Amino acid sequence: MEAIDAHGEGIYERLRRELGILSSHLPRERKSLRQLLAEGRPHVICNDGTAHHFKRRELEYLAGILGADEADGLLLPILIELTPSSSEASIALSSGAELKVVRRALGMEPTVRNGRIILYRPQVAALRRALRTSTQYSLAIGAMGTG
Amino acid sequence: MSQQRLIRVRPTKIELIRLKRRLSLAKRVHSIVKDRLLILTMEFLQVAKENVELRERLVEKMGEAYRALGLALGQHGSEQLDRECLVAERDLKISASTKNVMGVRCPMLEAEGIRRRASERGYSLFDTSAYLDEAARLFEESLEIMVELGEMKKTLDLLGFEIGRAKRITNALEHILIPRIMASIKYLQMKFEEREREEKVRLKRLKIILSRR
Repeated sequence: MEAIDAHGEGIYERLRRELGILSSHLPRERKSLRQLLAEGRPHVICNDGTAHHFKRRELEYLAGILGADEADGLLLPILIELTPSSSEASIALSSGAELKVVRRALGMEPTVRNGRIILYRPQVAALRRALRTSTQYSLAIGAMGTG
Repeated sequence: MSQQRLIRVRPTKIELIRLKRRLSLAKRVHSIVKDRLLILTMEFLQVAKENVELRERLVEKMGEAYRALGLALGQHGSEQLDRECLVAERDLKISASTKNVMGVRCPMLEAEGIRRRASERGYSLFDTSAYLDEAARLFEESLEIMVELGEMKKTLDLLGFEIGRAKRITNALEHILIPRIMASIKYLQMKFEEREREEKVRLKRLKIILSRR
């Protein structure tokens, strides 16, 4: 066996940074649809400090689905929680607005279980297609390796 | 045979603990990067599909637009058409920003007011026919698709690049780093066992010597 000098801490530092990337795209704080519609360039700030902008067309589409009172209840971006080992994804229901939006975007009644909207992979694709900037993926904690 | 190589460390318990920590970190990162890779690939395929659809729509729309332009050209002649087109010329407003897809910063382009009504285009509605209106409408629609396609194309490139990077990381972890750390841990554990055996033998010999006295 040949020994190599791989004491370089750099590799491990880079690996640690990879863990940070996982949540870098998630918003520090979500904003309501009403708030975003009032902004000139609607955006939220992500964990890595960058801005994630929303397409005004999408926001207007959402506003068309929801009533004026419901626009306060819908927090954007909608987080689609994915478990890579499973064929299902889910969206946490904070108000009825999410369900209304998903129902309209998919054109069908989605499954609701334990306060979450259950989505299957083709449905995730359809939802992302309709709401590309208004939705974000997030990895489910249970799916992460424990080491 | 990179798996056979060892990390050069001093055979001490503290190094063993450090290696075990590194193994845990490497396994965790491997699992997470692999999960992220899966999501990125899913997104990449969706964007690629949309890209193809947009391209087809653009080709179709441009075909229709050129046919309409041909009819307008036949109706008005090239000189008048050039004159009317010059009047309709304008600057486009495209706002560029970014969207974040699983840690990949992708561009987002939004074109404002590309589509106009015939009365807003600036050419004379009395001297021109509906053929020109139709051609202008179709070209405006094509332009909208072009902006969208540009955004999609760049997103596809960036996602592809990130997928390649994530793949390289998982491969390096799976085939080089993790086996290397594991081999080093095994080597250290064998070293410690050997030391323990030596110690036992030494104690036994000492016992024998002491019992002889």
